[in-house]
Amino acid sequence: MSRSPTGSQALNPEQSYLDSWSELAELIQQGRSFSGRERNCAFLNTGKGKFADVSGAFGLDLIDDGRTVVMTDWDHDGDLDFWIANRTSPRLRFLRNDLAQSQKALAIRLKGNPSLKTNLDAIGARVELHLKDGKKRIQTLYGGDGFLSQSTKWLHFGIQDAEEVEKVVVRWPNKANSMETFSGIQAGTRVQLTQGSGKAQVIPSPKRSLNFQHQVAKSVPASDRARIRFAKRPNLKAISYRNLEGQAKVITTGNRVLLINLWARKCTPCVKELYEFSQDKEKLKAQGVEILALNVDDLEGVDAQAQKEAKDLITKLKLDIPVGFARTETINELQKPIQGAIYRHRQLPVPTTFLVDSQSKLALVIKGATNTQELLKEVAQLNNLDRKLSVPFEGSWSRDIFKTHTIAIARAFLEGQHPEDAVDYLLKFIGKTPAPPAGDNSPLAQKVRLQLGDVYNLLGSITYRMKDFDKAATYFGNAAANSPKLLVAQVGKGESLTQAKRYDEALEHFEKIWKLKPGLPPAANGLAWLLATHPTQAKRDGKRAQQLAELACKSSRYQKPEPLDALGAAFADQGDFKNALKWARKALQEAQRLRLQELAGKIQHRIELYQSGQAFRSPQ
Amino acid sequence: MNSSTPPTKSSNSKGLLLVGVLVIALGGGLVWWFNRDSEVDINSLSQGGVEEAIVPGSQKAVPQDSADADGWNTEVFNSQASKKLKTLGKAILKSSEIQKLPADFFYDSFQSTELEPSSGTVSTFKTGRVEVFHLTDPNTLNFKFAGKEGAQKCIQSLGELFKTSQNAHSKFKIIDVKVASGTNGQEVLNQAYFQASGENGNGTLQINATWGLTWSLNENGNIHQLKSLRLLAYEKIVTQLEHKAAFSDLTDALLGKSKVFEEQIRPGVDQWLGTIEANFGLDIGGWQGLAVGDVNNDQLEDLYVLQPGGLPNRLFVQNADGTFSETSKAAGVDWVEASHAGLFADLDNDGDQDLLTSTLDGVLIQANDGTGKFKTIQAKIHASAISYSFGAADYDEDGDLDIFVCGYNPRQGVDRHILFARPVPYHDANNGGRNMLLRNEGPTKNAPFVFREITKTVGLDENNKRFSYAVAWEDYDNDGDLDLYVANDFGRNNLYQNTNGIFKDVAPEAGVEDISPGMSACWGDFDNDGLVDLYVSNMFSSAGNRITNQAKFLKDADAKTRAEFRRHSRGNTLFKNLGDGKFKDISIEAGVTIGRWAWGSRFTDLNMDGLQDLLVTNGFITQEDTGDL
Repeated sequence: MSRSPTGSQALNPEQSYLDSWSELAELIQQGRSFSGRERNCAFLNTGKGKFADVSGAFGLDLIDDGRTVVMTDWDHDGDLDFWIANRTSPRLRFLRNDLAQSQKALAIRLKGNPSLKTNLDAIGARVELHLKDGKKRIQTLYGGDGFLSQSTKWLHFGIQDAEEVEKVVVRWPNKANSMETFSGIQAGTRVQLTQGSGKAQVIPSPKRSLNFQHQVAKSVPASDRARIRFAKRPNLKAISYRNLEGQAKVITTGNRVLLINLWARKCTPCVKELYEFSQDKEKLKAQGVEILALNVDDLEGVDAQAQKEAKDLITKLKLDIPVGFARTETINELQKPIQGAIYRHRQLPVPTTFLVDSQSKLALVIKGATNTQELLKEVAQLNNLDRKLSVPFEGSWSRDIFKTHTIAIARAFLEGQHPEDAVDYLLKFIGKTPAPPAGDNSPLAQKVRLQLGDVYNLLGSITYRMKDFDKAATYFGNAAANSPKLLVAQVGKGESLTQAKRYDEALEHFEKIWKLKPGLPPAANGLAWLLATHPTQAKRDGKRAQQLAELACKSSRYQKPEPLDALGAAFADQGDFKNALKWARKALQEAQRLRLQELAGKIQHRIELYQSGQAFRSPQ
Repeated sequence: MNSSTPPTKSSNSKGLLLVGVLVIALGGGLVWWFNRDSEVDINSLSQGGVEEAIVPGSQKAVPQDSADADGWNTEVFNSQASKKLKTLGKAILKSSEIQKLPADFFYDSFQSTELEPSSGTVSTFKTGRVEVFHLTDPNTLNFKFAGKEGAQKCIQSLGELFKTSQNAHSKFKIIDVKVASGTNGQEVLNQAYFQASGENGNGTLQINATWGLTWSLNENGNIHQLKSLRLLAYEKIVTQLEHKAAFSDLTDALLGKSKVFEEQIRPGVDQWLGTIEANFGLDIGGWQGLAVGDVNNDQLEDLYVLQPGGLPNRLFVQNADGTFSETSKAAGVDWVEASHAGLFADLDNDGDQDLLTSTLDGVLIQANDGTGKFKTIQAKIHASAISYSFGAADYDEDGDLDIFVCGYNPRQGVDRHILFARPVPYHDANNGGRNMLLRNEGPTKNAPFVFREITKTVGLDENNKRFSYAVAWEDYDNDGDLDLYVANDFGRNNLYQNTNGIFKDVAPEAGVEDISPGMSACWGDFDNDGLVDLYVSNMFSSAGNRITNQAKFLKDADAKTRAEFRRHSRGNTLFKNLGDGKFKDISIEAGVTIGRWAWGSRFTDLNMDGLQDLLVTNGFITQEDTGDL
């Protein structure tokens, strides 16, 4: 049966959709197909707006889980060949076009002229093929289209036997450049059209013999053989089993390396492996490895004959290693950590070998046969936790080559005008970076604190700009706590508290900065503003506000609107509205010059207050 | 499993069987070794084994579900009819199978039109090696065959076409199920697509038909006998070929010598899902693409193959003899981080192809040194979404290429690739990852190029969180600048019209929203009228069609929602450009909707006759289990 998410019938389609997807995801993980074994399709344009399904007739109806298809004229015969990527085996196919044997296909490569503001590849150029009978065909050069795909940069025009080329017109991808006409082009050739040249240059096909025969590339089924070295080792604390007498036993892991081997009595590689382990017991022991070999012939504990045969084999092999019987729970215990880490763990073959490290973590599973030599190599590198050892093939890691710079990435988000993403990203960094414990003054701890200081500081300034002042105050506070010399964060906290209308805390905080760093202009400005405008009379001090504001104004050469605004407010608080207006007007002028519209509006409002003889009070 | 132990090519138990046989075969050599301990004859003790290659308790049976689990009785009928049609399909392709049909397969007074019409068909297309025939008016067909004997003749006359065929196959897809009361009680009416194709001596043959079927029910209410068959639509394609295949599979010839291809690319994604930790960002979907480009300027085109997490991306460089050599390590592009798309483009206009790669770790941008080596990462863009397809275009006409990057799921610190998105609302989501436009700012003192994200500034953040898979730039309005179409899985698609470098989503006005789950998009002038048309890959689900067509589907929802759900499983869409800024959905008339569960699709001229054809890759997840969900 074909099941589709639209099959749900609940009244709430969203919820039922999500539920049915979860259910489907689970079934797929357990091995079900979902819209599988579908054949690729090809539709032939038969003219007059109609297409015919020719998938089977053209042999393009491959049953692979096809993902993407790209075009290339591999054999330079003018028609298009295809690479197809699949989910299923084989994940790549090449198909040579043996259908189109027109001798008249025209292949065109474009060269743009960067000095005419066209990219050299000429991606985006529109090519018009004009035929002698007046017909016109157009194609555009794309730089990637379709699903995860990019095709050749040659454009291929099909031309029928009775048709002749009149000319080719290229519209380069820049409106400033006029169309360019190329004439004298013959059908059946490969030409390069260079911008500004007006002339087509014939590019001969490379001379080579390409004698290859059609043979459908084989699909191989998934194999169970695997060596899984876990990058993130799952816990495996204890394994329960039966000893040869049938008594329930539990072996706990940790403090030494434990090798667990699953074997069956009639499995040839198992028998060989068991014998080898027994022979090499001392070699393994010298490396701190303890062995437990568990027979899987009678998981239910009901088949006396199987047990007897297994025991007979143990005797005959003269096995000198701990041996026991696995039960169903043993298998479950051993499989659980694999199932958690591997998306599609199908089953355990015999033999299978597990290595549990001295920290009770499952480090390695070898599905299929192994040997002492291989295992000793694995044991020797158990302490190497590099995740590169966990992938099956060598390759490069962009993570290694390009170190992630948290602040730079967050700033890139800000530049792209996505402050919310910058915040998410910085918070993620904080989540992953625990603050060093108090008292730890190691160079590393100091470095981490400085990093955290920078990250919190950026968070503070973003949230401040997003007008979430309470959060900004907290972030700036954290920045200062981690990096006490970061004065900008100290000031940021004060400004945020002021904007959050937490005036008492703000006042207290600015006084603290003032004590720490007397004369710091932004602190002078912050203090001046609060002393001039605090809603509680007892907290105000117009005279001191005036002095502080003058200091701040001087340091900014009377060009910053904020200290000028504070100076005005300080005079107003003292009832000197003439001076209040003078400085407020100057502040307004500077705010307008800097295009700070919001601030300008506020100053305008204050000017009106001063004109009517009122001082400005910060809102509660 | 480093290169020292290549994975065996054999399957599960067979792999172990191979090992077993090997031990026995080497027995002669081993005797000396084992004889050191004369009392243990390992050779004889280990003989005759291997049938238990799997730990019995470790294999969980693949869960099965039943057709009535969802409460649609029509799905039960579909499942019963499908089984019967499968047998019938076999009988059509092989006359000996007709005898194997159960005696009661056909109703006593069965009747049928011709399935292979002896008259009334016309040749509607003949170019080069391809000819297409159509039945002009199916209504003129009478019930020509009657009774059980007639049934046999009817099937045989169709089967005659494939009598000498090789590699023939057929497929039914039931698209409509209705229950009606007939002359003898209840009966079930089906509409089904029938396709069959095969290779003949001098070419190939394909039949595409739509059949109307009537089934009788037995006393248990199950589908019983085929009462009637009516041909509703018919198309026949005949090709003349010298070789066996219209398209020759040269994969093994060109890549077969590559160890990398054999070990890493020939096995399917399921192989790696069972052996590489999910934490490496492996996805079950196999959403890895391809990029073609000439990386070393030798005039031969090379191929970059993107790989799932834990497997390095691979670069196949074409040799003079047409075969390919794998050079990703030397070229510096063997990224192990889960990747989706690659793109070759000359980003600094210096005459070589630079490379972009979308990985789970960010978008990597590397400059080519002119010889096909991409040693340094020039930039790594940390996208807020998991990046999918790329589209390059010089949208601002400053002479260098800018890049649009599709974003699917939001990242949110997820290392593990989740199979399914969580779109809300399902058919019209806006909670996906963000796409981004990276503007090429040209060279600086230290770098050949610098990119800046300017998505929001240019208006592309509008409707920008719809789980985007694909992008296609084109000047659809012929005003000289490049516009942008984005195919979204769980949201309407976008058509961003470019006006002096500022974009506006005009998809609703243009009529190209296409509510279906968009996987891929491409442009092409299929009708050669000078206006580029648009083809979008979606999901065709015959189950979706059967269910959403019924009155009881979402019966409490409004008509618009119901229509949107119906549209959702209709399949691919062909939009004809009308030239006035609007497009017309002509998919059904053109006959291009059924691309199945489609992924990549493209306009391409298969037979080089000057008309753009379509090629569609499809199929979601095929596993060992044959019972499809």
